[in-house]
Amino acid sequence: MRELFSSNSFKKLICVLVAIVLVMCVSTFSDKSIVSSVVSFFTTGLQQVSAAASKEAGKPSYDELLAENNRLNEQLSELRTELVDYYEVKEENSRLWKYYDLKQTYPSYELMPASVIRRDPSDNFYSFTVNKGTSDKVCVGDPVLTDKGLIGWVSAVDLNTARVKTILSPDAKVGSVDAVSRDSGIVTGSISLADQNLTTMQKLPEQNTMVKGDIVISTGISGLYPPSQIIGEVVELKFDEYDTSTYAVIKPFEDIRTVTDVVIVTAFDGQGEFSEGDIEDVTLHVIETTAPKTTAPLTSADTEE
Amino acid sequence: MNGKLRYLRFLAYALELIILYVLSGIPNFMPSLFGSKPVLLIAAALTIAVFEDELPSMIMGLSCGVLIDVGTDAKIGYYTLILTVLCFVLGYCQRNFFVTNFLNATVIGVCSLLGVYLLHFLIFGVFMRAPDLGQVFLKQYLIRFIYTALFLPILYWLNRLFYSLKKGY
Repeated sequence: MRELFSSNSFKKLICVLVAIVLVMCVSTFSDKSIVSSVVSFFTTGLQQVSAAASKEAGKPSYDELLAENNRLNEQLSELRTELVDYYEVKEENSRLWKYYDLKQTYPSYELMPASVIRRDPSDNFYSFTVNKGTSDKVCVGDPVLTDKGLIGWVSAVDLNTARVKTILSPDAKVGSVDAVSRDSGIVTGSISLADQNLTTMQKLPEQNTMVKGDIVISTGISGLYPPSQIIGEVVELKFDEYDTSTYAVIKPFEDIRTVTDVVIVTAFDGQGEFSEGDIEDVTLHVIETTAPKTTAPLTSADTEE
Repeated sequence: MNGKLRYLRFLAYALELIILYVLSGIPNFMPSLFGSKPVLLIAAALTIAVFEDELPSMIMGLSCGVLIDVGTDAKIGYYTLILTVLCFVLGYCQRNFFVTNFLNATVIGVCSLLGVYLLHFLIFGVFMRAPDLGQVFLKQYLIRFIYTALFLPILYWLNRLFYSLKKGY
């Protein structure tokens, strides 16, 4: 042990310890520790290496990235599906809001929103098929509307679909009246005007006072169509070249050629209540060729036909 | 030749310390055991000291202590002092009193490590009257001591490899 204490190594140890203690004292009683600064100067590089390594250590591995990528792709796929659902729901919502106003205006209407699922390209009068049928309480003869007015009626129906004929068709015969002049007539389609989204109002009184721009609405007297439904506006008054009677060219507010969303009125006040003596206000063709759910008497119309 | 090998060996030691310092500073590199992480530089200093003589051991202890203290609170302090003295003593003992082998090195390393932590606990825990001494000892000393001790064999074999470069001091 004496050998240890007398050795040069021990003396060096003592020197080092004294130096360390001095450094500790200096660093304790001094705000600025030169030694710490020196040591920090040398260790800064190491700390930067450590920091860089920390960043690298924090980075995920290739396998982790691949797994995360796969997981995110799955999430993305799910979210895309949800997004499509969202858009469909949003579109349906906006469509239903339009009919909500209609329902508010006519609380007695039983409305069934429907979408056009098919258009027959060979039909010159733009009839179409909708995605509602008897399972949705849709019946033959039910009027078909949009938020811009009456556009047609259900001409045939099966379990899940219904075929709709439009007021552009000559088969249509809708009792109507000029909302301004109160001149009545029958709205029926014309083969020469259908492709322009135009229809006609026939059998006008000889002394009618209709003018261009008047709005034509349904009378509803026949019981087949709800009353006061807008059909269109008068764009022209003409003489029939065969019988010299006057007729009006009517432009529906809805472009029937391209309509995609409609609403079927499955029930309304006055449905099927035909008024006797009113010859004009009957959709003759519908009564003849289809079997409407109403069994109301058709005395006047039948007589006329 | 011996001089060159000696420098090569000390270069290897220096690189070892640098790498351990860097690894210790990486937040998520070493998994924590009950919230504690090992202090690899202490284990490195002790395992170097069981191979080297007192002066190189002292330098290594000094270096490790400085790095630990600077890394902890940017001031030279407890670990610098204790590791300098301890490594000097271990180096002296190695040269005069025991033969370095795995068993001796492990036992001496574990005892020295225990001494380092117990002394630290006495000074900074008991004498400073730290609250909840039992919890502090368990979490901050005992677990860290055990975790650090687990690295003693690994670092022993590593430093034995460096020492086999032929003692040139």
